Amino acid sequence: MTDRIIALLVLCVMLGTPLGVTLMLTSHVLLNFVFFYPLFMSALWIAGGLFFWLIWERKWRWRPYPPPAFEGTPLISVLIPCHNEAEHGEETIMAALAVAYPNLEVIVINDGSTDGSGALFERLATRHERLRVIHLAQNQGKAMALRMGAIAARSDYLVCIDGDALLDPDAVNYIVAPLVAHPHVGAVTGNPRIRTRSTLLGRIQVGEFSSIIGLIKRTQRVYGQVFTVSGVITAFRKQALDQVGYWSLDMVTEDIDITWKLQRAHWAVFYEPRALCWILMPETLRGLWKQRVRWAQGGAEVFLKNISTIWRWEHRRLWPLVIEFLLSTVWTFAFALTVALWIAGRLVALPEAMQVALLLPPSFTGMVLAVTCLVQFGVSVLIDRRYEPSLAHALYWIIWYPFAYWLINLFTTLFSFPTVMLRIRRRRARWTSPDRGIKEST
Amino acid sequence: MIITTPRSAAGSIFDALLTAFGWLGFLYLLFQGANAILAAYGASGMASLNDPFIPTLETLLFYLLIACINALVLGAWMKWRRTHEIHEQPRGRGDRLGTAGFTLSPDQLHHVQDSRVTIIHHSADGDIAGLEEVNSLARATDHDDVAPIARAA
Repeated sequence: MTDRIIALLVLCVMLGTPLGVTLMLTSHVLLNFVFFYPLFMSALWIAGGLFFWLIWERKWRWRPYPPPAFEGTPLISVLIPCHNEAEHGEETIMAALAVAYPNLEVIVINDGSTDGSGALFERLATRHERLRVIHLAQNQGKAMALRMGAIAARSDYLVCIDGDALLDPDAVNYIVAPLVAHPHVGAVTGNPRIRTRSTLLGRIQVGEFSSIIGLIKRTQRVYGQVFTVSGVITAFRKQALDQVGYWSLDMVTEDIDITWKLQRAHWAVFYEPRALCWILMPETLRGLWKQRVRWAQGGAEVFLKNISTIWRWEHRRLWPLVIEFLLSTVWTFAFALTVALWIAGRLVALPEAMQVALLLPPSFTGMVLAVTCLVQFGVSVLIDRRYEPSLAHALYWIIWYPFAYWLINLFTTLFSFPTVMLRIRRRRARWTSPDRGIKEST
Repeated sequence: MIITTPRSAAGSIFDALLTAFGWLGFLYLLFQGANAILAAYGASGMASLNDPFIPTLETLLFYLLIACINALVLGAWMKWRRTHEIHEQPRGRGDRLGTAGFTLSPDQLHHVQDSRVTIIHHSADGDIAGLEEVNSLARATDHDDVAPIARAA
């Protein structure tokens, strides 16, 4: 009951803050926040990305140098939770079996599939000694599938990837290296690269993953805490997972939750940009909407779960992440209020302080915002091009990405945040069928 | 590795035009911004305080200043962290690996870890209700023809 009251209070504060600012000050202050908050964050991400690159990344060896090797070549377990992956599962498993690391077991967890995935996995297991199969008799959700994979794994190093993701040949070496070298590291998240580039949405996401997600991860590593690992490729220390109780079964995004659980227990979470993993992403608006709503709900759920206990002094290093999440959410409601005031101003007479005359940024501000976004993409190309030399070719298509990113953020947060805050109680998270790119029409 | 599924010509043209439109909008903003600056400074080379772009510029400079300060703070923090930080040891690190929270005995755990193919049954509340080891890798997908080796809980 207390949780529900806290959730309701949080929602009231989030909705009320932009309105309170407008009433106490003017809509001009609100507009400034709406226009300049993205600019402010962009500057921070550019700075963080450049710091990470200048101080660490540019000195790290990359091809043609060989990946790191480990003394004694310890066993590494690759976990692949799958639900109805008959179409992509074989490609994913074969890529995992083909990685350069010699002492490896691949465990595919078939979570109650109904499309013949189970038979496919067993057929592959007859051919490949290093492949093991866990069938969950009934569909249990990704978090449970990962838990069962962790039980079955013989190694303390678990590399978890999605059922439609392709590991780069050196990815396992790179992503496990920090776990081997630093005993305080609980997880290392890799660098997902987008494969599906058929539509404008797919191509825009190439820019987004480099310019926004890649720079955010680098900035957060510079700071020392990470908001979330990438569920599609992350290596975990089993000992750390065991200590924090593994993945939560009732979180929509188990990756955000496990990141917070590990960091709350003082395990470090690293980002390794050389651990490449090739992923499929939605290429339709409907698919993208479903995926981003899930991400936004996941963020809100983790925020709600942690809100009452995160303010203890021992968790102080997570506070900036909470504040950033709060500001981003307030920005969403501030933007929505701006639009509402603009529309209301056209229908009824509003007090002068609440009037919004212009919905678009003034020309000078718009220019600065646009240039900043391009600079951000330029920085990300500079940093990421060694992992994907053809990245600059995507430049033509990314002009809409800042707009698309903030707009999608806006609508998904507006939809998800109140949904999570008003939900009566949490439920077991189950698989949803994602959009994995478009199909060729016949 | 990269997937570029062939699409209809109309879809491709729409994407290309939309992107071109985005670039035109960007260039428009760029030139309008530059014009606003030039117009504000005018022939005298001095900006008038009445120009609407001056407060915008001031706000922008204020935010950029804050952003730069934040970047500096971030850099200084990283520098400090690298030289001074002592890694806090995760609490409760021990050797209680393996079965925590899974209601599995050590024997059952070994069965799962040693088998090539296992079927795990769960109860409605998510606990492990039973384990089956599949001995033949060439079997069909139905689970009826496998002998249960262990039942947990």
